[in-house]
Amino acid sequence: LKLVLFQSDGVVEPGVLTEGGVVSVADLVPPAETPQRTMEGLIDAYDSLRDRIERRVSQAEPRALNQLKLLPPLPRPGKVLCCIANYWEHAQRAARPLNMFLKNPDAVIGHGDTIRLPDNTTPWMFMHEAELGIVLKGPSKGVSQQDWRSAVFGYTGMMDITGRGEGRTTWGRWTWLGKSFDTFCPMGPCIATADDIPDPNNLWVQFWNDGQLRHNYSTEDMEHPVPELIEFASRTLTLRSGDLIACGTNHEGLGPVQDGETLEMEVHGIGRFRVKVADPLKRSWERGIYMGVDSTNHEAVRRHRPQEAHLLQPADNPART
Amino acid sequence: MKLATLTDGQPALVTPRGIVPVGDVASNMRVLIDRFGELQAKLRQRESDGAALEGARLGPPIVPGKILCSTNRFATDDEPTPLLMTLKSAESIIGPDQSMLLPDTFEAWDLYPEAELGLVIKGPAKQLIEQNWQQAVFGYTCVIDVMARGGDPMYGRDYWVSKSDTLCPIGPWITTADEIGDAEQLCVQSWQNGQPAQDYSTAMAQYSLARQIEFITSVMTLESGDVIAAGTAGGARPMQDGDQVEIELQRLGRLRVGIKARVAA
Repeated sequence: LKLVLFQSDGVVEPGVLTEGGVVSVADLVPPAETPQRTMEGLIDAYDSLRDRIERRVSQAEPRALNQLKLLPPLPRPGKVLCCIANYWEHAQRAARPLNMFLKNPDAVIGHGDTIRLPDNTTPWMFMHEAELGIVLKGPSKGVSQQDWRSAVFGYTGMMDITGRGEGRTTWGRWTWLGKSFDTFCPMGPCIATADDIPDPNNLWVQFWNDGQLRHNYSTEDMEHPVPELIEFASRTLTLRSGDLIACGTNHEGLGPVQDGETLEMEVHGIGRFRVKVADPLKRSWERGIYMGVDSTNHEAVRRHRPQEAHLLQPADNPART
Repeated sequence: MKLATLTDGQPALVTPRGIVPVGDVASNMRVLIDRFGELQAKLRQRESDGAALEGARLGPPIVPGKILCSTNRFATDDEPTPLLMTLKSAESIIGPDQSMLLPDTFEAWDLYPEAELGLVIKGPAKQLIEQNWQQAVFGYTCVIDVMARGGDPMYGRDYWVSKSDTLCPIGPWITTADEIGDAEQLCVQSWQNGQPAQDYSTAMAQYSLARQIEFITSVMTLESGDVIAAGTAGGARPMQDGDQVEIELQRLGRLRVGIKARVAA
């Protein structure tokens, strides 16, 4: 099932995204103080509610999407854990050690919302990264790779918007603070429950800026696949229901984001959502995929680092699945 | 006013007569911070005549939505590194007399318990200029910000491991800003197993509290109950299983915690 939070007539309700629109399940889910807590309650009670939710979806008339506003499915996660790098990017090299950082959990926005670039002028550029998000259930601590499914509730799409220091290096060095500006965590459109996604390492991720394709990759290319991410994260932190792990991006499709643009992403099998960009300072950068000296885009590698070109492997067509 | 949170989650006042629960005035510390203006008279009344609770046990005074650990250093002649802050999560929070659990560190790094001034935020606070920094500060508390050291500066997992469960004790209570006066004139001391470790003054900062608030609110909105750990000085020693750490900040009280090896589940 594809679970959402939506707002209609000022009321926030949990629902199921179907082909015809959204079916509310508000009366089936325990009442909670905040929309985030509502979704956490749904995650915790899902196994016992599932039959009734499915019956509701088969019987009720869905509400049309244009009659309501979709909210981010996790409006305020307890924590957002993000992988550093984590894609091979079609180059032959040694795997980098897995590592993570924490992103500002108050920075979440949803479908139709606006990324607001900050007045802060220290970062020289702001970029998009499109990522698969793992929606967790817990409490989970010390989970082994073999038991990874016990900590996973479902999956969503997430844009890890980033302020850059120099080149494509995140501003803020080891603090990763360039990832934590307000509004820099667009998420959506729904949580696809784990039973709908047999293999999270076989998903196709696409991202468009004003309709132009930028990221276009398969999660099969992850250096450290989902079971390893769960083991790593739960070794350090207790994972709770409604927390998020962002799996990292394939940097071959990085590009700037700037005033007036519309960003759209789709994880196939989960869904598509879009956000707008506003910049009070109206800064501008060259549009297109980032081709700087440290870009991993294959054309940029051949241009700036010809000595590494022999390491490049042709990108498989991620759509083949 | 000195505000604590009992282990059952309700707020309480720290008075000369003892700990006075005020769960009937505000259900939790975040509500108390947000509505302090209107609740203040009632709290003052309870401070003078409320019944103290025998055997009251304190938890962390607040479980912050965000914890921001500053790169600021006190009492050093070193060239300042750029002012930055890194996030810890609520999983790291423990209260007075609880124990930190030594994390699974991937590699054999040392873990340093650093005594820091904690700023408890009243929000939302966004894009504050330096002159207005005090608008964002509800009060102060003691923070032990544990840092693992020794990894690669860019991809080192020491920074990740510093965010482990239990590695950010706070307390024993929050003292409201009006009671502190100048927070940049406080003595900070720590002891490890009873032996003096850190001893510095918040007077000698690379970055003032005003500058720190202006900086972080240029990045993100601070919400009520968020905590900034305002930086530290030298003197901390690596900690081990069985150790005790105590820190005391002038006028803010003394926070004592233990250290235990993690017991396999």
